[in-house]
Amino acid sequence: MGNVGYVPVRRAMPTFQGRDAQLEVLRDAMARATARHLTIVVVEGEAGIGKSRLLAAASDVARGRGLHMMTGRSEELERNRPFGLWTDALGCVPSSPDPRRAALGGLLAPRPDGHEPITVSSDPGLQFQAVDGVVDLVDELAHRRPLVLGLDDLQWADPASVLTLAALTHQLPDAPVLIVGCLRPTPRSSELTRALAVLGTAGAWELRLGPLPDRAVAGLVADVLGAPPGPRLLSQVAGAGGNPLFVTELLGALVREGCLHAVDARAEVSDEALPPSLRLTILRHLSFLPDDTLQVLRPASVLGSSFSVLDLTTTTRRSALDLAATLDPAISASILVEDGDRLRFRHDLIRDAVYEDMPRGIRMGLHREAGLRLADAGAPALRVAEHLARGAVAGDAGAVAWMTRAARETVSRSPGAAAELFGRAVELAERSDADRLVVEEASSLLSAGRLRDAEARCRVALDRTPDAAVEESLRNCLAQALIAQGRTSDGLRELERLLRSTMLADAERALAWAWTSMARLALGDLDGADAAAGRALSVAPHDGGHLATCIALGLRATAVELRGRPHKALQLIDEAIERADRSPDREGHRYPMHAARARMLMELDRFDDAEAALEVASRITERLGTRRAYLDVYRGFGHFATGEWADAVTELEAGVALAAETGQRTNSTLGFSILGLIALHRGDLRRAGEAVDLAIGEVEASGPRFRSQWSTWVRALLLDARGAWQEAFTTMAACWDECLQAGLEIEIPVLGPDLVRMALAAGDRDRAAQVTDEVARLAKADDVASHRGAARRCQGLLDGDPEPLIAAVDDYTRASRLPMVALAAEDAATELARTGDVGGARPFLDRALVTFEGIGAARDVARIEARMRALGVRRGVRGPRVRPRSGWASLTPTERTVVDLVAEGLSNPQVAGRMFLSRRTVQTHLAHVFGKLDVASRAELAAEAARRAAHPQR
Amino acid sequence: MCAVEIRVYVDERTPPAGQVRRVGAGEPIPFSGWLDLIRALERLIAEPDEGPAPHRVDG
Repeated sequence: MGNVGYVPVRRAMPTFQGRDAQLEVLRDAMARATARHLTIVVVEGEAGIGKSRLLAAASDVARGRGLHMMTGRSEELERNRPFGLWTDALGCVPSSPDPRRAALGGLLAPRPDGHEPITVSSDPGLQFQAVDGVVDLVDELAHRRPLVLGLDDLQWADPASVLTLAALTHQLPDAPVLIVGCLRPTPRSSELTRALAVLGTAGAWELRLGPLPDRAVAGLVADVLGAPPGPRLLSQVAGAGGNPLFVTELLGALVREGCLHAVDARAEVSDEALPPSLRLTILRHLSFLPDDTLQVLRPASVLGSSFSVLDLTTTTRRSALDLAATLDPAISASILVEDGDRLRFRHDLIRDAVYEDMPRGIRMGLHREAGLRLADAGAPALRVAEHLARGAVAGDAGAVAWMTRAARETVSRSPGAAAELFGRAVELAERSDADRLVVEEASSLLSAGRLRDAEARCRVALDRTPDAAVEESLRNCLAQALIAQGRTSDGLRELERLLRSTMLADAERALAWAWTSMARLALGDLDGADAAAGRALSVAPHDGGHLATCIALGLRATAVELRGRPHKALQLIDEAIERADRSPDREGHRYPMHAARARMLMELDRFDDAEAALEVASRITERLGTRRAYLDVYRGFGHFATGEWADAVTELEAGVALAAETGQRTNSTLGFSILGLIALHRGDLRRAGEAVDLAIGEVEASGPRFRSQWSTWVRALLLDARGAWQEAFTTMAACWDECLQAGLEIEIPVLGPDLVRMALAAGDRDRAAQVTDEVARLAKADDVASHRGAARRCQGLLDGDPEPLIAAVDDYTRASRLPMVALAAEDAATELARTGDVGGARPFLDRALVTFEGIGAARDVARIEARMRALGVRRGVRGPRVRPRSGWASLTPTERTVVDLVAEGLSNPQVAGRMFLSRRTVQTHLAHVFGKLDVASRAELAAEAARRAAHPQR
Repeated sequence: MCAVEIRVYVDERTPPAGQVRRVGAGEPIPFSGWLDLIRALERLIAEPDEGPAPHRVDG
């Protein structure tokens, strides 16, 4: 054996080795995404195992294929920076030349007014608006060419970024987007755990990176050293466990120490050594740097895995020129690498090795010093707070103040991150401050939808018997957390305790009464809701209490609506809207006034006006930054009533999905109920049953809510359809009694005709007569065409008299309620035929048939056809042609508008903006259009639309 | 080649901190962290058998 020479390091950054199979998986994923299937690959592996290198290799492949590649990385020290990952990946900064990115950057920038304490009545914030903004931007980018998003170090991602990742998978299932997310097995936040479960359900691919195989390790050594390894060296690097970073660092250290020699054209180590630890190996490697460089790397490691030289000049008080010279050896040795305008430790583990090699006390001191110097230099509160939090000891009022400030600036964009910051401030604060901060922490948790955590924080703090003012705020927050969990009665009890307090200021008392009114309304206690709203209005101070006043006015109008008096309800809501318009910053509109107005207009059969009101409501929710699941449901409600069922299903599905995502489930029972109803009329009893189960499950899980009696109504109709007539009747009768007892007269015209029909079939004429009287009473009380139609229909069924039924057809026609027109026409025909007037029955059967065909009620069509056959009646003049299932003629008016706008080149978010729909709704419309026209892409659709425009007859 | 005896006095364990000295020669060198310890060991090993430890001059 003869030593031939010293072996140098040929490459500090070796070529990519041993991951061909994994790269192949990513190539397949790119192909799938390009074919318009959102594809997610989660790459998991320990630090240093090669996740980032795999991502870099995938980036090269993506660019080679002409795909749009964007990458972002989360940082440990920025775990609370809202949307940090997406800001990084998509380049969303206020100074961006792209107006969309600049707008999103502006939205994500800290709010200068964010210094007010956070309470349960604080503005709900911008988080969802920002989530939508990111999803819109991704959608638009992918609209131009397929997009690959590489997201590294997801284990450090902030809660809002994680939420956005989950939202993308829900909202863009057909987008040509590949998301490659890399993460270590630990740490794993609760948000990330939930998001990974969502990704798993959405069919995400999992790619676990294990140790490199021996051959690949040998290849890696050969690549780094320029010579294949000898047996002793191979044995030495086997101690690195197939971790490529470890192998590279070990080789670096061995070379630096002069331990490697060439033997027979192979690199060989002089002596066998004990297997080293990775951290010690890294430090061995670093120990060759000059003293001064090491002294600067320590404060640099305090700034995080990547840092700007400007920050380092601030925290070390050394000039940039001086730092450049001092850091040069670290850059030459690839300890630090350039990352845009920042410097980055080549790997997090290198930074960690330097950072954790300092005693804890020194680290804390450096963080504290960094925080104070960054504060002096005007750095954002969040950055200052992250350092001060790491450098603080219990009772550090300065650190607590900065963390509080950072949390308040953060809450509107990421309440989850704010809650985390408040939580850390609570741990450091003195007792009196801590209780006050718990209120803010719990309120932030409430906004983040972490209801149980909010409840737990409030209860722990209340057990410590805080001072009176804090106790009131805690109790208010606790009540909100309970109500939001559907534990309305428990929440109401807390509100009652709160209202017994003599210390409560008028504005807070008014709000507590307003919440009480809302809780009572949810429980179906209309009198209680009215009374509580009245108390809110009487105690609300003139110069404050705007929100409480507007909520109370809105709830009073809603109570009247539920009592079945839509004219009066509309008058009251218009007064409430006027008051909300006059409130400072129009904060009164945080109660969804215009959406309530739209509902009331629908009750009055004014569907076009309702549509316009929903447009106004959309604009307001957009400005407020809140999500709008209820808007989709209300739109679906309107389409259902007028017989536009394809559009109704689209809206309702979008609404219930959004409700599940945001936790705003107030209207999802209604949404599922209508979906069940439509499925039932279409003859899909299985789907109808599923929808009804979901609707009833919602009520059982979290109590009654807005119009949740519809779930029982639809259940009764389903039982009826399955032949369980007696059970259907008793279910329906119980629902009716419950509504009447609660004063929910809004349901009288809904339930009445079906209950009369079922009661007569069950031989309970008294019940039928009693119901008919009630419907007639309601119709007299408020002049509404559809109420009149319901009253006449009940009367006609009870008396077996076709005349009122024929009049009901006209009433429902005036009300534009096509499904009801068809049902009344069917009833009229049945009674006419029963009295022997088959000729008179025929036009009504035709009318019912044509109408049911037009709205796609297959089950009703079959029933009418059977009835016609039984009567020996052939259908008369055909009505408007039945909409076919495929081709251009199958498109609904809304779908045609969507097609026109897509053909103009608009992206989904742009179409949504033009049509005042949610992007999700547009997405669903497009999916339906693709199916009906048998096209696979927007480009094909646009080409098809152009052909159609040139030759409309084809 | 020669045998060198070095003693490490550890006051703290994570990260290690204390002193290191070469038996029979020179003053103990304080260290704080593995990096310091590695560098102190390098210095002690590099020292000649007699006389004060040479100070490394960087830059």
